[in-house]
Amino acid sequence: MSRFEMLERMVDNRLFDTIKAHQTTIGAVVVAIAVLIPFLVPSALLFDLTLVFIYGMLAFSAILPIGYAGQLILAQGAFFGVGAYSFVKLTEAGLPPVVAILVATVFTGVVAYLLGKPATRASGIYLGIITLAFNELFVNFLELFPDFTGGSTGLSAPSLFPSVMTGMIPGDVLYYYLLLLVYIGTVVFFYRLLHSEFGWALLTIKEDPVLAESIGIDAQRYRLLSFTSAGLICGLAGGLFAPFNGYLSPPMFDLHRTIDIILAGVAGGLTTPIGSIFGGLIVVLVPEVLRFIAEIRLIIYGVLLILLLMYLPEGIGGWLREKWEQ
Amino acid sequence: MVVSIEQLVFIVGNGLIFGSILALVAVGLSLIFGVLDVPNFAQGEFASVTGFVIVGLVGLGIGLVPSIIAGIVFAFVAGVAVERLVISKFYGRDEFLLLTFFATFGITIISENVLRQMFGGFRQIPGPDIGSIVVAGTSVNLLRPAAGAIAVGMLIGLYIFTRYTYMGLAMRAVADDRRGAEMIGVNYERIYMLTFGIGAVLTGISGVLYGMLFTLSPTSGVALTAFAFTIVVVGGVGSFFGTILASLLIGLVDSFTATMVGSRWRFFAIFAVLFIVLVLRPEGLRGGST
Amino acid sequence: MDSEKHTSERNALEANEISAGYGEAQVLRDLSFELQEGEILSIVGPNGAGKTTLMRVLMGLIGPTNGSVRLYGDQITDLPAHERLGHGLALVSEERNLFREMSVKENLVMGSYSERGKNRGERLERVFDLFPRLEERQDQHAGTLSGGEAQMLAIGRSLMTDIRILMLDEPSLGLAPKLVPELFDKIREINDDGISIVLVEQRAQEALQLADSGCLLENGAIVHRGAAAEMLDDEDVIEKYLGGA
Ligand SMILES: Nc1ncnc2c1ncn2[C@@H]1O[C@H](COP(=O)(O)OP(=O)(O)OP(=O)(O)O)[C@@H](O)[C@H]1O
Ligand SMILES: [Mg+2]
Repeated sequence: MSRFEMLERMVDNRLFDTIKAHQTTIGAVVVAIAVLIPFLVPSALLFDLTLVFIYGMLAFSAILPIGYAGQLILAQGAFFGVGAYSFVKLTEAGLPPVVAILVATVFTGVVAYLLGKPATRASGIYLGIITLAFNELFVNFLELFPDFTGGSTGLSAPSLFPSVMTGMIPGDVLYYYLLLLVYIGTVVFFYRLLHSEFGWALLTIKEDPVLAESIGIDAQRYRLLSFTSAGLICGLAGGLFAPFNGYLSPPMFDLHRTIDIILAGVAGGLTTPIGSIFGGLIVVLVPEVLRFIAEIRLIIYGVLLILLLMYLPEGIGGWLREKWEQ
Repeated sequence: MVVSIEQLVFIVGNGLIFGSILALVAVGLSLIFGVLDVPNFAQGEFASVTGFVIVGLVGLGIGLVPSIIAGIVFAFVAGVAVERLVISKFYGRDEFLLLTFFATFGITIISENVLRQMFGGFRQIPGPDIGSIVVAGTSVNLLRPAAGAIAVGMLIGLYIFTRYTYMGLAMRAVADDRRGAEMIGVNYERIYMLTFGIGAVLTGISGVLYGMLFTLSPTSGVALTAFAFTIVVVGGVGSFFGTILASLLIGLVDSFTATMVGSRWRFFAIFAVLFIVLVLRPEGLRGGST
Repeated sequence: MDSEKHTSERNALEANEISAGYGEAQVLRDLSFELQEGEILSIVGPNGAGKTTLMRVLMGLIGPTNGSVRLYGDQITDLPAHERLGHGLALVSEERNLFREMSVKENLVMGSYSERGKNRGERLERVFDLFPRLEERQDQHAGTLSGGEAQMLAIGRSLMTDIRILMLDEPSLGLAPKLVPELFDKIREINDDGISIVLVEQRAQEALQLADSGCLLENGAIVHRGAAAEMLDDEDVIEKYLGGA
C-alpha cells in the first residue's frame, strides 16, 4: 500500500460528504476567515499570507503552459522579475503606481511574446532549456548593469498606497486585501478561460497535436498565446510584489524562484485552478515551518518535493477533486 | 581588443581542457536522457559529490589513489541509487519528463545542502605533482593537459563501449526502441540502472579533474549541470559528436570571455551562445543526426 | 500444398482462456489457442480483432488479466518478455521495432544479445544467405531501409539466436505486392529449418495457402480453427473473409 493510499484512508470519505452537505455554510466560514485574518494574526504571518496570494497567482504561469499546453517553461522567475523591476523603473520615471503596475504587466507580456516567438518553435526539453537560459540571462543582466538595475545591491520600490491611506489602515492590511481580491479575480478569470474552448484547445494540443491540427486548431498560435499569458500573469504578480515587498534584488528571480513558482502549480495541481491556493500555501509556509531546523531546512524541503511528486502527482487540488467527485 | 600569441595559446589551451571536462558531464547527461528520457537536473551533483567524497577521504589521511577509486565507486552507487529510489517510481507515469525534471531538482537541493553542511565552502583535491613545462613563455602545470587527456581518453572509451560491447549496444538499443530491445532479450530495467551508474561515473570523473584544476564548492554541481544542459542542447540531443563539439565550443567561449572580458560575463556569454544557436537552429548544431 | 509435414502432435505454444486488454478496454475474451511443433499456423481476422494484442500477450509485452500461457508445457504466463527469448520464443512485431539509429549489422548483432554472441558468425551467415540484401546494406542505418528490407532485417534479427518458435505479425504490411510471394517463400524456408511459425496476416488467402493450419480471430475470440486447406475450401470462411483478399 502506498503512502498516498494511507493518506487517503486517513481522510474519511464521510468527511467529504459532510462538507458537501454544508457547502454554503463552509463557504461562508472560509470567506469570513479570509476577511478577518488581518485582525487575527501577527504581522509577520500576515506578510506570508499575502505572499501566498502572490504565489497563488504565479501558479497559473505553470498551470496554463505546463498543465494545459504541455510546454516546459522555466522562465517564470525572470518574468516575475521583469514585472517587478519595470514597476520600479516606471514609477521612477514618474508614472503613478497603479498605472505602473498595468504598464509593467503589458511590458512583461511583450517580453514573453518576443521570447516566445522563436522559443515556441521548440518543444520539450529544448523549450525548457531556452527558457531556463533566458532566466539566467535576466539575472545576469541585473547583476551586470548595476547603474540601471541596482546590481546585486538591489533596488527599493515605492509603496502603492499614498501615506493618507496607510495613515488610516496599516499598509500590510491594505496589501492583504488588495492581493486577496486580485487573487480571486485571477482564479475566476483562469477558471473561465481554462474551461472554455481555449483550455480545451490547449489540452488537445498537449494530448494529440496531430488531431489538434486536423480539426483546425492553429497549435503554434495557441502555444504562443499560452506562453505570453504566462508572461502576463507573472508580470502582474511582479508589479504587485515590488511595492508589497519594498525591495528587489537579483537572487529573488533566479532559477530557485522559478522552481518555487512551478512547485506552487504542481503542489496545487497542474490541472486544477482552485488548487493554486494550496500550492501557494505550501511553497510559502512549509519553508517557514521548517525554519526551526535552520541548517537542514533545505534538505527536508528537497525530500518533501520528491515525495510530493511521487505520491501526489495531481497535486492537492487534484486529490480533492477526486474525493469530491466520488 | 588585441590578443597576443601567448594569450591565444592560453585561451585555447584552457578552453579545450575545460571543454573536455565539461564533455564528460554533458555526455553523462546525454546518455541518461537518451536511454531513460530523464532530463537529469542532478547530473552535475555527481561531479561535486564525487569530488567532495575524495576531499573528505584525503582529509582523513587516505592516499589520493585509493580515495579517487572510492570516489568513483561512490559515484556509481549514487547513480544507481538515484535511479532505483527516485526515478524508477515515475516509470509509466504521465508527465514523466516534468516529474523527473523536478524530482532531480529536488535531489540537487538535497545534495547541495548536504555538501554545505559537511564541507562548508570551497575545497580543492590536492592533485599529484607531475611537473610543468614552458609553453610560449609561460610555465604550465602538466596536470592541466593531463586532465584534458584523461577526459578525452574517457570519451574515446565510452565511444568504443557503445559500439563494440553488448552492454553498450544494448544501451543504444534501449534508447532507440525499448520495445524492440525487450523482444530480443534485453532487460531494460537493468540497462536503466546501469546507464545511470555509468552516466554518474563519467560525470564523477569530471568532478575529480575539476576538483584538481579548479575549486569545488557545494554549488559547483548546479553550475556544471547548467553547462551540461546548454551543451547537450547546443550539440543536438542524442548526438555524441555534436555534444563533444558543443563542449569544446562552450569551453573556448568560456575561456575567451573569462580572459578577455571578465569572469563576471562568463555565464552571460555562454547563455548568449545557447540562445543564438537555438534561435537559428531549434534542434541544435547537429540535430537529427547521430 | 504438402500438408503431411514434420508436424507432431506436441504443442509448442499454448494459450488457455486468455483475457487481456488495455486499461478499461478488454480486447481478448477467454481465448484459447495452440500451436503444434513444426507447423505454420496462420491467424487471420478483420482489423481490430485483437491479433496484435494476442501476439503481445504471447510474447509477454502485456500481461493477461486472466488465463495462462504455456511453452512446451512450461508455465510462462508471468515470465517477462526479455526472458521468453531464452526459451526459444521470438516475435517480429507489427511495428518491427528496429533500432533505426543503429546500422543493419548492429541490429543483427543485437539480435544475438541474449546469447551474448554465441555462434554469431554462423548465424550472421545464415541470415545473409536468406536475405542477401541485408549483407549489401549492413553498414547503413536501419532507419533508411525500404519497407521490404526493414521486414527482412526484423526477421533476420530474430534469427540470430537459437529460436524454436517465430511469431510474425503482418510481415507483408508495407511491402510492395510483388515482394510478398518472395517473403512467404522465406518463411517456408525458415519453417523447413524446424522453426514453428505463427503467421498473422491480412492477406488471408496467401497466408492460408502457405500454412498448415489456420485460426480465424474475430472480436477477441477464435471463432474457427482447422486445417488451412479446409479453411480455404470452406464456403463460409471464403464468403466472409477471403472474398476480397
Ligand atoms: N496500445 C493500445 N492501447 C489501447 N488500445 C489498443 C492498443 N493497441 C490496440 N488497441 C485496441 O485493441 C483492439 C485490438 O487491436 P489489435 O491491434 O490487437 O487488433 P489487430 O487484430 O491486430 O488489428 P490490425 O489488423 O489492424 O492490426 C483495437 O480496438 C485497438 O484499438
Ligand atoms: Mg495488428
